Amino acid sequence: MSDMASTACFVIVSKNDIPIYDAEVGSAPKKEDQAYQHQFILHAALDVVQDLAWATSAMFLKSVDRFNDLVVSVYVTAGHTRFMLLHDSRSEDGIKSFFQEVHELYIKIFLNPLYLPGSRITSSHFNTKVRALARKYL
Amino acid sequence: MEPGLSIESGSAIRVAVLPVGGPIPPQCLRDYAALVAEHARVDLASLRPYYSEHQKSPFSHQPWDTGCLRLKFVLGGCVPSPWEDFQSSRKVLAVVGICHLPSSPDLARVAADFLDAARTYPSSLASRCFAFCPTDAQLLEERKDGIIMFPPSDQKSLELHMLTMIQDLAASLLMEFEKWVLRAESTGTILKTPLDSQTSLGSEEVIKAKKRRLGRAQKIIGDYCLLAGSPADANAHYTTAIDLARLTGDVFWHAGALEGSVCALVVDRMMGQSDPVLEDEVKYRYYTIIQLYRRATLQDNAQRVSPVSFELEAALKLARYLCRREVAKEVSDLLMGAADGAKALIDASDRLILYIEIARLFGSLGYKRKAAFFSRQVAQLYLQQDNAYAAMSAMQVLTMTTNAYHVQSRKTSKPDHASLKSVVSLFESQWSTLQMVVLREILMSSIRAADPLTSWSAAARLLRSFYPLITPAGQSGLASSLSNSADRLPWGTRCADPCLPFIRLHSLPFHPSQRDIVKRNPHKKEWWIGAGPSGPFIYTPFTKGGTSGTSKQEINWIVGEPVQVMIELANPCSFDLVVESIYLSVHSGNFDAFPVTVNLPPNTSKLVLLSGIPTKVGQVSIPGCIVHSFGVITEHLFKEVDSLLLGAAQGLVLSDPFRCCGSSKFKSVNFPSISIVPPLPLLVANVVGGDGSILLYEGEIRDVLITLTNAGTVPVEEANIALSGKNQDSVISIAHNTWKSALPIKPGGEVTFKVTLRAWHLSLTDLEADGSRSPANPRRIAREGINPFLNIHYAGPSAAKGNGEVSLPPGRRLAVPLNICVVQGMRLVRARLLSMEIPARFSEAHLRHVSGKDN
Repeated sequence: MSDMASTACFVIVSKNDIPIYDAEVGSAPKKEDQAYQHQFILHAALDVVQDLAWATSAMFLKSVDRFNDLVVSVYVTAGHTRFMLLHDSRSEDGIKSFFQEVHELYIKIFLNPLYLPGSRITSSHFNTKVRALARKYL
Repeated sequence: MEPGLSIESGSAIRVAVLPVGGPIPPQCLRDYAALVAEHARVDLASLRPYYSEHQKSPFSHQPWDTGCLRLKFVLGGCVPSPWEDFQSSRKVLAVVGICHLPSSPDLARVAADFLDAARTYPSSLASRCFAFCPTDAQLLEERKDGIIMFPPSDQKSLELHMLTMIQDLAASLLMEFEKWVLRAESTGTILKTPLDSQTSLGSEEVIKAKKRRLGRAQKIIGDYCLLAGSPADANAHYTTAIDLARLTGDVFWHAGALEGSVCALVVDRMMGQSDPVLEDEVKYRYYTIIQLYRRATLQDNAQRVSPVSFELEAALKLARYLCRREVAKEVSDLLMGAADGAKALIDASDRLILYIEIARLFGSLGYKRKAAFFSRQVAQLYLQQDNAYAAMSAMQVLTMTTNAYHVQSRKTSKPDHASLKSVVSLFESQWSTLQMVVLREILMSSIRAADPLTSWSAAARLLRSFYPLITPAGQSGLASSLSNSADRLPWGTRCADPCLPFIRLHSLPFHPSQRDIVKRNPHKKEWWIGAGPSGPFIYTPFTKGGTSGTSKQEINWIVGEPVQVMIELANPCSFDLVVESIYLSVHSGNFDAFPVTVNLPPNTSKLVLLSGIPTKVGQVSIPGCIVHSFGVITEHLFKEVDSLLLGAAQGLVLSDPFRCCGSSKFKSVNFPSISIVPPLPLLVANVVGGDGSILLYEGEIRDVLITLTNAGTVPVEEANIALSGKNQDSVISIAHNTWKSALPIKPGGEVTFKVTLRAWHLSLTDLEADGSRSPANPRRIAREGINPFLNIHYAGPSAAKGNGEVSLPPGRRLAVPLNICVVQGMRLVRARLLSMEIPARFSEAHLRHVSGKDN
C-alpha cells in the first residue's frame, strides 16, 4: 500500500499453543533483536486472544493487542488455529483479505495426508505464497 | 511513581521504621520489623484509652465504633516526595526507631541517633523509639528521651506490648491530625506542587493562585480526614474541593480531589460486599480522573515536570481494583494503555516501577504470558544498569518468567505427573527463539551477578535443548561458559539441570548364572518340578507367556553378584565431550554402582557397559545415571530421553540426538522391574578329565567324574539332580549318595561324584553325517541336541524374616551337559574268501601207493 518500510511479523499458532509457522513479512530490513521482540509480543498476545476468541463467533478478531506502536491482529480458524499478525498500523480490509487467503493455503496444507497436524509447516511453496500475499495485501 | 499503590492507599498513614544505634543482626531486624508491621490496622475503638480530646474534633462524623486507622510501615524510610503536599499519604507522618540494645549499650547515644534520624523527616508528626532486649542494668536506668523498652519475654507478651505502643502512637497521630486540620481551616496555607513552581508571578496568576488556594486547602483537609479514619468528613471536604477546583480550572487538583473522594467511598463501603453499583461508580470516576490528569499533562507540556506518572498510577489503581478474570478485557486495556505511557516517563526508575506493577497485575489476572513479557521488560531495564545488584535482580526476574516460557529449571518444577506433562512441554519447545533468548539473558545476567550455579544451569539448558539451533562456535562458547562457571563452584556441586551427554538404556546383558533362578514355593516340597525349560517348546499352555519382549519383565539380581547394564551415550555437539565419571543412579539404596570414564568425540554415540553389585534385598529402581561432566554432578533420567525420542519420532521436537550421531533407529526399552534376592549359592560344574567331549566307543561303559564347586557366599543346603534331554538312557547311574552326603556344601567346598555312562549305538544317519568327516581325524565333536543334561536344582538356606516367618529365597538351576561323543566301534563290514594255493603235502603213505602200482 505505502512505499515506506513496514514492519510485519506473521505467526501461525496451533491449538496447542505451538507456533507451526513464522515469517517476517515486512519490507523493513531485518534486525535480529527486533525479530525476537516481535515474537515476544506475539507470544504475550496469546493470553488476550485466548479470552477474546471465545467471546465472539467472528473469525477475524481485528486488532486485539498493541505494544509500542505495533498492533497485533488475529484471525481464528474453526480448529482454533490462530493466525497472528504483528504490524504497524495498516488498513483492516487488507489484513482481513490476507488472512482469508492464507487460510485457504493452510487448508491445502492440511489436505496433505503426509502432513502431521500440529507439526511445523516446512513447505517452501507455502512460504513463497505467504510472502507474496503479504506483499500484495500489506 | 511508587509501587503497590491501590485506591485505598490514600487512607494509609506512612510510618518510617528506622534502625538506630549499633548494628542489628539481620534476623533480629526482620523479627522486630515484623512485630511492628503486624499492626497495620488499628481500630478506633481501641484508641479511646489513649486519646484525649483537647478541643472539639473537626472530624464530626468519625466512626469511633466501626472505623480504624490504617498504617503503612516503610522499613528503612523513604525519600521525601516532591508531591507530598498534593497527596498527604505520601508524607512520612510518623517515625519509629528500632534498636537492638545488646549492640547499643549507651542509651544516650541511642536517643541522640534517633533524634537525628527523625529530623530527616520534617513532615513527621509523632515519633517513638522501641528498644529490644534490654539488659537489667539498662532497664533500671531512667528512660531517656522517650526510649521505650521491650523487656525480653515470650512472643505473645511482646505482641501485646507492641499493640499497646502502636495504639498509643496512633492516638497521638489522630490528635496531631485534629490540630493540623483546625489550624489549616483557620489560616490559609499555601499548597504547592512542582507544577506550580514555574508559574511566573503575573497579576493574573496571583489572583488565580489565591482563588485556587481554598479549593486546594479543602482537598488537603479531606486527605487528613481520610488518614484520621473519617471517610464521611473527608467526602464532604472533597466535594467542596471538587466544586472549587472545577470553577477555578485547577485541573490537577480537581483530579486529586476526585481521587480522594473515590478513596473515601471505597474505604467507607469496605465492610460490605463489593457491589456492582459501587464498582461502576468507581470506574466512572476513575476514568474522569485519568482524563483530568491527561489534560493537566497536556496543559503543562511546557513545564519540565510532568504529572504523567499520576495518570499512570491512576490507571494502575483502577486496574488493581478491578483485577478479576470476568473483567479481564477492561483491565488488560487499562494496563496496555499504561504501558504505552511508559515512553512519556523521564525517570528510569519510574519506568521500572510501571513495568513491575503491570507485570504483577497481569500475573494476578492470570495472563501469565503477558506477565512474563513485562517481567522481561523489567529485566531489560535492570540490565541497562551497570552493577552486580541490578544484574542479580534481572536474573531473579528472568527466572520468574521461565515457567511461562517453559524453560524452567528442574529445581523449581515439581516432580512431573508422569509423561503427560513432558509431552505437552515438548510441544512448547517450539517457541525456541523465545526460549533461547530468555536462557541467554539469564546466562548473561548470572555471569554479571557472579552466580555461577545459575549460569551453569542456564548454559546447560541452552545446550541440551537447543544444540541443533546453535552454531558450532556457539556450542563451544557454551561449553567454555560451563567450564568457567564450574571453576567458581566448589567441587562436588550438584545441579538439577542435566547437560550432555544424552543417555538411553540399551539392554541388560545377562550372565548365564543369573538366568536360571527359580522361585521356590514354600508349600511345594519338590519345587524344582515344573521349573526350567519344558522341553522343545517355547510356549506351552502352562507357562506364563513369553520370556522377553513383553510389557513388564521381571528380573532377579542376587546380592553380591555383579550385574551389568548397557547404555548408549550420544554427543551431538561439535566439541569433544569428556565425561569424567558416569555410574548408575539408584534411588533404592541397595546397589553399589561402579563409575566409568568416557570420552565422546563430536557427533558420536557410544555403547557403554555400566556395572555394579547389589547390596541389599529389595526392589531396585534405577531411573537413570549420575554424570560428572563439566565440573558439576547431574542426574540424567532415562524417562526424559524416552519422551524426547518419542517427540522426535513424531516430528515435534527439533532433533533426535541419537540419530544425528549415526546410531541406528532404536525401539525404546522399558526398564524391567528388578528385585534383589538374598545371596544364593553358585555351583560350577566341571567334568574331570576335560570339559570337552567324553569320547566313548559304541557300547562302551565308562565312569565320568563330575565336580561341583560352590562359588557363592552361602552354603548349598538342598539339591536335586535329574536328567533331561535326549539319550537319557545312556546314563546308567548317578552316584546320588555321594553328593547327598556332602550337603551342605559350604562356600568354596566341592563334591565329586560318579556318573556311569554307556555309549549308544550309532544309527545309519549318524554314520552318514560322520562319514563326511575325514576318517583320519580323531577328534569327534559332540553333536548338538543329542546329549543328556544333568539338571541340578539347588538352594541355599531359608532366611528368617523379622516377624517369625521364614522366607524362601529362590533356588537355582544348573544344567550340566554331558557332551558324549560316540565313536564308531569295530564293525564287520564285508567278508570275502580269498583264493590261495596251498602246497600239497605228500606223506609216505601216498608215495608208497603210487610206486606199488608200477611193478
